[in-house]
Amino acid sequence: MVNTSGNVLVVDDDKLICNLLQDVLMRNNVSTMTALNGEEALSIINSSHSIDMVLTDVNMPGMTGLTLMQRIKGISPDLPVVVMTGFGTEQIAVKALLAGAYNFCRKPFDINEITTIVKKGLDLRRNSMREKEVIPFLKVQLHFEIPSDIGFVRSIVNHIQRECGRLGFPEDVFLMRVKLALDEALANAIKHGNKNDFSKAVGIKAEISTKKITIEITDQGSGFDISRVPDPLDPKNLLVEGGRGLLLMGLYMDSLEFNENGTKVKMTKNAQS
Amino acid sequence: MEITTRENVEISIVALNGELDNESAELLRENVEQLINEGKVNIILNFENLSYSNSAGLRELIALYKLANSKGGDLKLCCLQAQIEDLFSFTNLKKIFSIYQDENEAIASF
Repeated sequence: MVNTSGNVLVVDDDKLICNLLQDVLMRNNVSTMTALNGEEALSIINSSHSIDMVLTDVNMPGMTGLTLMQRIKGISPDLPVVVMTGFGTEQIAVKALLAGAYNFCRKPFDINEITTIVKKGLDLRRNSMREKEVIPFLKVQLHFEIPSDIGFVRSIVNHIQRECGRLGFPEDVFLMRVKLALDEALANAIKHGNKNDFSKAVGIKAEISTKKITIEITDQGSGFDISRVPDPLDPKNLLVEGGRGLLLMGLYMDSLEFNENGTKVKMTKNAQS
Repeated sequence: MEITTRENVEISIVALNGELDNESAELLRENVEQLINEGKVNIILNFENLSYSNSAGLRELIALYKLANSKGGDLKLCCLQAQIEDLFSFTNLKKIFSIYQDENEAIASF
């Protein structure tokens, strides 16, 4: 572990255990902090962004190790947490793993086992952090070709939403703006463009980055003249039931362009707008 | 989307829970049309738990509003979440629908 650099937070109400683990890990070139209870551990994690792994006892007075882990997942979902369980508490270990623990180790400790677990956890953390460094430079393209069935709209929206979330495109911007515009554009292509003809396809291309989402939707219909769509804001059209989809797409996205015959729409939303 | 309906002598209160989109708009129409066909023409739609609507939802609301009015009743809305309220503002539909902060206010308006 000579080349391993990382900061491990050891949480145990037994000070001797804290000191023992600190000694073992420091001899393996791992920087270590200790906390005697869950509240103290959370305070350290909240005040320092440099913790790379948490090693916590399960049975502690007050906040248990499992509760601490859940709280940590709420603050830093990717921070590996190793739970330390006593003899005969394998079921708690299983519960911890199901709840998102990176690993577990049994007390009394096998020093080799615990150093191996820590080393692997820190490697995982380091790799995960490196992968995140390139996300601002990543562009993901999704391409769907679906039959004209309105029942597919929700799934398409969910796929694109999930990819936006993975890349860190702001969730509120997606939910409050992009989702509606995408929903409207898809419904427009399926119902008005392809007239719900199942044999005609709708093409969806989405390019997503942390900063911007661009969506292009193409139908195989005969097109329409956008200038002839009635203005739904005109008082005489207020009680007309349809015709608001285009208005909402334009309002909720930063740019909206149709091709000449109205069979393709390209719309863009910036993360910071 | 889930729809639950409570009725008293004069007013039916329909609570929408979830998202109003292309698929759930049909469910709303079936529920409210049934009320109107039974002569229960004064209706309040409670949007407290409605988190989303698209234009298909708006289209259905306008159609149901017109249907209730044509039968001598009314269709009013209450408890709109901010995003839904924005939608009504942007589309000028606030000029058509009577919108109330809470259910009691909507009931008292009939």
